Amino acid sequence: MSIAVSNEELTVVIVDDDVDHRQLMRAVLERDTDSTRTLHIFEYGEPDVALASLPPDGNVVMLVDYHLNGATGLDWIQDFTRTLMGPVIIVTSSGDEEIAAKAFRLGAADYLDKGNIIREPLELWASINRSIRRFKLERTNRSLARSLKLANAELTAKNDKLAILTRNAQQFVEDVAHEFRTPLTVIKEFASIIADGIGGDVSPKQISYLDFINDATSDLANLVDDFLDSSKLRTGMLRVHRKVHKPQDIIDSTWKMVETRAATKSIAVEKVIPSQLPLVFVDAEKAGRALLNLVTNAIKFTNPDGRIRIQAVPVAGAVRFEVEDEGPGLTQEEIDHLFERFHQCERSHHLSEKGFGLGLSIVRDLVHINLGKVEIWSTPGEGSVFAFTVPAEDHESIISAFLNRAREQDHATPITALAVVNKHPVANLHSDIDFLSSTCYGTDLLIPFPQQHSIIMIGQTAKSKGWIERIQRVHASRFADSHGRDSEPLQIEAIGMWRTEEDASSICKVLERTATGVFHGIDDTDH
Amino acid sequence: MESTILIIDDEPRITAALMIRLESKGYNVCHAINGLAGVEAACLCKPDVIVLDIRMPDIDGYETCTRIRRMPGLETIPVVFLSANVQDSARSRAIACGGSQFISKPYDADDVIGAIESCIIAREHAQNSAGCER
Repeated sequence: MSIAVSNEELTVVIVDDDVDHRQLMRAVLERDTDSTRTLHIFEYGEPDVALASLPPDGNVVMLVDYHLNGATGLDWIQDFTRTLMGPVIIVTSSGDEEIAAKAFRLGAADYLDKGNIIREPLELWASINRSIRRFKLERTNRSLARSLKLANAELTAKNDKLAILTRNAQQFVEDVAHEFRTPLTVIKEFASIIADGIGGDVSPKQISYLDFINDATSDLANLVDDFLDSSKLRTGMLRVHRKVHKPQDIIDSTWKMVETRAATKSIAVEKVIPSQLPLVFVDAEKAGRALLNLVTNAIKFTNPDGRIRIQAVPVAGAVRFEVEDEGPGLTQEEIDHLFERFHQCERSHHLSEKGFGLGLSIVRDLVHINLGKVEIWSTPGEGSVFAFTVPAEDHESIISAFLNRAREQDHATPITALAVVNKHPVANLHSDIDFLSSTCYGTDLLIPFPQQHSIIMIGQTAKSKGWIERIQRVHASRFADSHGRDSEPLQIEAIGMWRTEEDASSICKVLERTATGVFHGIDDTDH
Repeated sequence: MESTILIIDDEPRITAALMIRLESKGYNVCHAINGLAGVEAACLCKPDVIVLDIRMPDIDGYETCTRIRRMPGLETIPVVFLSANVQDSARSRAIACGGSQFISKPYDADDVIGAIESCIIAREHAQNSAGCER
């Protein structure tokens, strides 16, 4: 039987006030030692002398008798373990389980009976080897845990730094946008002041020139907004405020911005808006900018005296905004490449018309965030229809649009719904929505149930618990600041998780039932 | 009596554009170049409406609005925020600290005039009905 731990030096320190016992132990150790190992044995009668003379390092084990002059081995065990770079084994001639348990609690590596050592001498070596092995393992574990902790701290620091960098980059983009807007305001407003004749008479020709300045300034301002949104979208920081709107209002506000531009090029713009259109659930500002980009492009690509049609069409669960032009049209291949970021159309007659690429890629982003889809129909030489959908205002249409987008993005990750309940129904639901939309991603969905004083949040994640915790953490930190005390935590419940293939109407039923049920629950406790 | 508008903006060219525009509409206009000067000007010229920028070198527009609101006699003065800050939070912060309207730069002059006029009408209406109660 091999009893060696390894081929190395081993130091055994024996502490026993009985010289016979010390010699017995030495004899056992020397007799049964592995010949490949160099053994050093030190004997001490007094524990304090032993403590003062402990070897500083190396492969060392200590055998301490339980009965010492005026004390027990247990009184000294912690001093030894603290000083010694090796295991301490308690040896006794009259031990019991209670002493053993106490010894282990205080840090002993093992507990041996002297009678047993005499009967089974190999047991001593077995215990020493076992103790050394375990001691080394523990030491390795401790050192691994320490490096893991260090690596973790390093990673956290790097993560924090990255978060700060992202925030700084975002702040930089916002600062640049702000700095652009200020001189643009000055240019636009003075052009407008001159055109209005405030500084004196202006000729009609001069007014039309000033309109060019005004249009170009608006283009630049829109471009700055597009850049800002595009960069926010790519860092997941774009906030969306979807509400119920009339499709007509979105077309009208866009119309106002392109009217003079179309007139300048003598392009006739026709608006076709059926009276029986459903309301839509959109961020009107973002949908409006998507439409503005499409109309601006259409004006760009239509020859003077041409015609453009802006149309809203009801389709299943959505409204489709269409912009039809009489431009040069596109081949299927060109359509396929169109939405690549900064892609410019390569056909020579398009090259004079810069700004085609970014406009369309931002349209796709703005439509995507409104849970819609971009569609293009085109015949080279005849013109194109650029269109996008946005969901109708009913819950089933909204959820169906959300599922479509989720499937396209990542069909494997489920969608999760949370219910946020306003405990004080008099409080404004809008402020809750404002807060929640500031905590969630632009792609997440917030559906208010005003009558139930609750909001359903839907996002694509399998981790509802982490999501709830994140919202509550942000809520606590934001509202503790302004009142100087902890605020009441937001009441949020996870209400369901579905695969992206799930049917919208069945999800919708669960959400509506939950929103109502949650409200009744609150109602009961409040009264 | 013609209404007085106070413009608080650190960009003198925007202040100039607003002054030209508002004076052409018959308004009496005073202006301040930063937030602190704006609070002082609001106390001195007792305007009917304040047009307020957000990003300014000393105190920002939110703080300026809050301080003006704390001044005796200026608690209900309408404030129209006019800012190149277009973050989603800017609008809600502006309204939260007591702003009546928020218009983003580059602005449409008609929108600014419209906002000022509606503020003046709303204020006159409020003062008249307060007078009746007394």
